[in-house]
Amino acid sequence: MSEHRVIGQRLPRPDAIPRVTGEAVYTDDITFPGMLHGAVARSPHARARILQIDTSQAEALPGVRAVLTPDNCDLFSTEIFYPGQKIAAVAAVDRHTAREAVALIEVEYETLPSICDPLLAMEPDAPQVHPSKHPDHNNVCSFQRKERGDVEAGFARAEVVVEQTYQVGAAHQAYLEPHACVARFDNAGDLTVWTSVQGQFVARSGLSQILGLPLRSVRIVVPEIGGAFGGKTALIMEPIAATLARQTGTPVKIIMTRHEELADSHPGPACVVRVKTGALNDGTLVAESAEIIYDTGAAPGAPSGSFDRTRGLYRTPNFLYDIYSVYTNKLIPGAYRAPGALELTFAFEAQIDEIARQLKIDPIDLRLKNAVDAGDLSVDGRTYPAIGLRESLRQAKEYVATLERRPGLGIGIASGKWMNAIGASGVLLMLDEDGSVNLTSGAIDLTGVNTALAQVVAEELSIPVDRVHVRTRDTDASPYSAISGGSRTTYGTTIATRNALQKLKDELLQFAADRLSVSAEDLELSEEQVKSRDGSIAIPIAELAAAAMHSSRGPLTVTGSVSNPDWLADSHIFITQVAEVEIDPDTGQIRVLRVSSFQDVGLALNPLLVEGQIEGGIVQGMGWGLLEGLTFDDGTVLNDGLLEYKIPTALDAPDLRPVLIEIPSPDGPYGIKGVGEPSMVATPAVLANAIYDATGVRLIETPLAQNGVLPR
Amino acid sequence: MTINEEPRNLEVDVRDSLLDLLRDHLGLTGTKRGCDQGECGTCTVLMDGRPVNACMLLAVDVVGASVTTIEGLAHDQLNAIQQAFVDSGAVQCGFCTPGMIMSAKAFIDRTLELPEEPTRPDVRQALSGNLCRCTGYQKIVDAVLSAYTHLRQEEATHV
Repeated sequence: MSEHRVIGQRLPRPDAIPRVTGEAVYTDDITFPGMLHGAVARSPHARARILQIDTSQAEALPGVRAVLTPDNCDLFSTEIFYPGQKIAAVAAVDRHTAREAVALIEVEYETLPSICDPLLAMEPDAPQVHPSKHPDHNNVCSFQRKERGDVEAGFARAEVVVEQTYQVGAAHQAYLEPHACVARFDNAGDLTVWTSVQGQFVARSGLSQILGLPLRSVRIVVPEIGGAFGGKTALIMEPIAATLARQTGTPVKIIMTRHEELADSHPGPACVVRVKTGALNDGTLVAESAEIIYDTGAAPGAPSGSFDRTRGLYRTPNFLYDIYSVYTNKLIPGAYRAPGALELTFAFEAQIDEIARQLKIDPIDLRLKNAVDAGDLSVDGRTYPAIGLRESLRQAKEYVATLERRPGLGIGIASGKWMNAIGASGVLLMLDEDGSVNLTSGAIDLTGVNTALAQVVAEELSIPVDRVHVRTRDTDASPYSAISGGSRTTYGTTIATRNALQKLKDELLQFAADRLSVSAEDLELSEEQVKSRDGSIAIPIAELAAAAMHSSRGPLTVTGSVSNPDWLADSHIFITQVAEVEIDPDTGQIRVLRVSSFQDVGLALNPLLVEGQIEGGIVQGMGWGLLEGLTFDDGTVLNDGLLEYKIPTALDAPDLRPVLIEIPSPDGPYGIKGVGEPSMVATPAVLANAIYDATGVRLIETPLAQNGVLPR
Repeated sequence: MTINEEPRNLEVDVRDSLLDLLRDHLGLTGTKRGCDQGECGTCTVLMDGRPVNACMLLAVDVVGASVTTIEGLAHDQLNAIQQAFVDSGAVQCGFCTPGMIMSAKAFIDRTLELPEEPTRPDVRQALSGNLCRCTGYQKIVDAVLSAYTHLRQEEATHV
């Protein structure tokens, strides 16, 4: 059994209690007397120039207090690059009036040629969105090449070659809480912004730059946050709310509507992947090439840099990958849970299945034959430490063997990979006079990280977990922390907390040793006490904490920090999923019965929360793969409500089987690995592979369920 | 109208929805605004025991009705459904939670009057108007069934 006492326990989150009573405060729950409400006007055109804006009617509407346009505010531009681009803003006494005023703004546009298809945008005669960074293609925002061995020689050796073009549509994070912010200036000119973002310090520096305010004059407070999944990393409405608040001298709230969320936030990007894979007749993979084209919309935003994080599952000796992101006149994508990974996994894992079918090798066996292991190289040339790909495949194989085959049932398999980040985080640890502990963090808690940190503190100090109080506080009150994303938060803040705990233990034991005239080395922490190893001394931690506070020693307060300038940890998370789907032979309707996920989590600090992350990720991956995809008409989002943009309901969601594999990460605290993001990377791939198993039809475009599928 | 068992006499803006009334005028912010167009279920409240989307009703149309919000559930301690959501790990970001619990309450209240026990598909059907983006619904279904079992046993003990 585990050598840990509190770590590894399935503890419910204490912060779930205010969430079930309705007491938990989210940004939209905050109001101030006299507070104004903001709303923005948007361009209906994909590419245009504003010739004239007439705001006289809007300004004349009773209750309107301020109108911002390109004429009086540099947050707005007269150059339009996508439909939905913000062109003006209003502050008014209530939401209804603000929206009414927006509708009264009259704009005269000169429309210009636009381009919305990324493949066409690369053609030489395509309208230019922004200057291209590629000598041979138009509208290229970024380009990278990844290469190893001799790919041509590899294909020449191959005895079977498969080739296909896959398309993944843009998908929205669809967090249930829309973007929300409240901005308020005090009389000294200092700004406080309550906002729903994943990183409060990056929001602070961004706002300070945009508004020309010293960093010290900006305070960010992040109340409870109603889902984010990568979609709440950028500033969207905050600069506008703050500018309206500065101009009116009154607090201003802006809440995005669901329509605005779908039409102009930062969803996961659309992506086209052309892949060619070659193998020998015994299943050995010998060559792979791909051309990957992300649609980055009107500005850089597509996560085209995550290739190395998500590929490198097989020992393919020769490869050549070209990765483009391409400008179009559409909304600007951003991060969505394991950004960039799901699109690529969908394409590459379909190819592995195709090879397996052609060679009549079991798809799990083909993967096992080629799977990387400790000592193999990743795409970016790292040597893998102990990793979990083979173990996840082995457990998946065992599970599949227990399933009963029947007509109409499809069983699919797919594997995936992700790497978590570390980033920068500080924590402040205080031992109070009753022996309880207060831990202050600047990292936004999206996933239950503060519950896990309480377990870490309780473990290390030998105190009950309910004696540990962990809180994320605002940018004035807490140590710096990087954004909560990249599956870094628990990983990074646990390292920082352990560093702080080591200092606290050292100082506490030294203080006790000095009082008792013994050596600190003879003392240890056990059962809320400092004890001598020979058992002759036992003093409650509470007594020592209070004594320290009132002695020349002073309160026991320490800090802990972590950073990793390279961002990524040497933490390689592998996952294998098995999907069981059923196809209605008459209608072609696809029903997902069960998805099992065999994920290497390193070590689960709190399996209840880890399972929750995996379960949620599977259903998000299923949504993107099966049901979801933004649809466009000349760049305008057509499905801009949750009836048209369908995310999975409780009826769509399958039975979920998260299986935790624990292969410790060599540099993770306690061996933990990031868990938030990897859970969804393989789900669209596993569903397509299961549908193929059931029907013999290979679906190559998401959403897979858009037309149903009939058996061949 | 009656709100959380308290009779209220209110003057309302004709443009305001029941959700606007609850959140903006009565300060009952536990009921959430996720889409304001009847699609997400985060604003679910009970009107005379039935779950409704508060954003889809005009406040003036609720005259005479009895409305229960999430704030009306816990008396001194969490009720069985709230406790089951906490214990089962059914709460992540919490934004869908109040609406989800209100739908679960309507379902459990109704099901307790029936002889047969609810199945997982029954629970999924009852919650299908409440979107959740964090949990994948697995632990929410666990929580509702666990609360049902608890309340059924409690009922048996009282009888």
